[in-house]
Amino acid sequence: MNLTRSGVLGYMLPVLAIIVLAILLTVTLFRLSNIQRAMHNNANANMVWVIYQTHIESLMLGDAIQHWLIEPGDEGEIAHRYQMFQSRIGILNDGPQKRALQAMGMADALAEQAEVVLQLGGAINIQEAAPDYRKMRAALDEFSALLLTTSNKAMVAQWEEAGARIDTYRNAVLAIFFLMIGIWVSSAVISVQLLLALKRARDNERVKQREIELQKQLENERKISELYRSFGSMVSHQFRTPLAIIDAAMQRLIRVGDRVEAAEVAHRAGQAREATQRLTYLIENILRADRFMEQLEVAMAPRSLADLAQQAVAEKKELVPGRDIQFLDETTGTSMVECDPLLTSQIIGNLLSNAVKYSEDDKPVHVRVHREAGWVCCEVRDEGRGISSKDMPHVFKRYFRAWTATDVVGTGIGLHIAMELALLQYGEIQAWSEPEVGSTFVLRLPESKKEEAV
Amino acid sequence: MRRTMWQLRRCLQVSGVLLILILSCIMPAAHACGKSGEISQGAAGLSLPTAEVLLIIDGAIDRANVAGEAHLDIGMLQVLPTQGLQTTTAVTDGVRRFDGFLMRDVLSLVCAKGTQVGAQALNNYSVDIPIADFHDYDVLLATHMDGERLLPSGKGPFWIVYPRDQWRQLQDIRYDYRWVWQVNRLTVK
Repeated sequence: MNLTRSGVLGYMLPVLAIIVLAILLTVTLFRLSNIQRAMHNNANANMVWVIYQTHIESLMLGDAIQHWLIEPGDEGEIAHRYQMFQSRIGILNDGPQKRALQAMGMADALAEQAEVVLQLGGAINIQEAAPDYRKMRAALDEFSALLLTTSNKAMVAQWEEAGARIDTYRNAVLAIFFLMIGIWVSSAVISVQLLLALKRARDNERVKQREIELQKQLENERKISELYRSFGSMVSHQFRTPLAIIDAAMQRLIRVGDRVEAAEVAHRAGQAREATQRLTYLIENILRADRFMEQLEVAMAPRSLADLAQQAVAEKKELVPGRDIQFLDETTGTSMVECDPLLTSQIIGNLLSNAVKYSEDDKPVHVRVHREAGWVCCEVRDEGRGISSKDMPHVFKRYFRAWTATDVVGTGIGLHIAMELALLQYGEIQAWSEPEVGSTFVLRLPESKKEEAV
Repeated sequence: MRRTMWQLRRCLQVSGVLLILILSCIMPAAHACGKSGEISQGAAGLSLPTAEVLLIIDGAIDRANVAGEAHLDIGMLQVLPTQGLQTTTAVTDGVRRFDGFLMRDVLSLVCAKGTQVGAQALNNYSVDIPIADFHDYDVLLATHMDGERLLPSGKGPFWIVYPRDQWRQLQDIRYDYRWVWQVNRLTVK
């Protein structure tokens, strides 16, 4: 119901208004062009004047003849007036004037009477056969009377036409007036719709913006709470064991009381101190990691990744002399990457430590440097206990510790920092693992464009 | 800014000089009259009519032959180039062909100096026409319609004809009354 209503208001109404507006505008234009055309049409405008001119010439000719009849002499004036008369008859017989006379019903009568005068006048200026001027004068009198009637009719026709024209204009203007009101109303409807649509669009935008912000906040909070959970779980696992050891040592000392031997006290104290050292180490580690990330400075330079990896392997071998750590360089001496050498060494060192930590002492660790389209990769592979597929997506999260690593001391910070450092150098770390088979971590850094090592 | 103004002024000066040069080249070729000091010479140039006088031009003219008026017969007009024109008229049907002389040529024949011409007909009908009309449009002093000589018993001896079909603004009743027929006298004012 609501949908139909909003559909009608939001879509149908403006479309309807636009259609109405277009129709009204078209009709208005049509009406205006009609008026414009009608303004050029003025058939009867000069009829009264033409008839008046003819009437004058008819009277003048009659007058000239009258003079001659009283005082016969030169026919020059009659001839001149006759020419004028002929000229006016010619004009009355021309198309537009003829049609106007026909419309008044006077054309035939006038033509007939004019013909009588012209027949008689044909003999003017011919000495042997002077025209019958008396007859001609009588014919002219009759013609003048006809013209009087005609001029009355022409006047009436002209006024009728003027009246009709004014009526037409008035009606047309009135129609256009109403059309304009229609145009005004439809324009107003369209304008209001437009404004409403604009407001709606802006409101929608605001709501969307707010939703995005909320989503971001929620995501942030989710991350923080996850961080706390990881931190809590790490602390509970890592701190409980040393605390339990201290607690057990102290209980033992309390229970034996003064019967305790000095050697026993030393042993228990030693246990407690070792556990305390572990706790200190853990706390130091956490704090150091935070300080490290805060004070970090990245100094990028082109370096050979193979060289950095080999150096890290050598350092690790010194720390764990018994371990078999194999190094393989497949890059044939072109392993230049754009990186911070200190940070890269730290990443490889961390991956190596993990490999050594989470695999048996007799199992080898493989380090292989190779190239992939645009990347140079350092792969560190162990044959240790592996990571379950459930834990795999979380291995790079801060404070996260895999279920298989619970017996090894750690804060879950190392891999997280390694990944952060790789990202800082526009690289990344990928991990594959299979429980009881081993884990593979690959550091990938973008190939350096510069060929020469510094 | 000042530099631009200077350049503009310089430009106007140069074009002004050029215009004067061009005009001074053209003017003498256009007609002998124009300078007030040469009236007598111009007036002497108009001969006396030898045939029936069809048109009398009076008023502000510099060339005359009879008592300050220019009495013209058809032969005197025929020194002017003839011009044709096809147009409809307000009082006839269809397109008619008119032949005659350009009004501006007729007026320069008598060195007319005014701004208006009073056109008078055989029946004493008279209308004032701005001379500007004759320069803006090719207005004819028509002697023939459809190849036939205009006669006093019709619309002759002369009919002033505007190029009505060629210019939309001439299709107006305010121009229709300037189509004077049976013209026999022009008074330059």
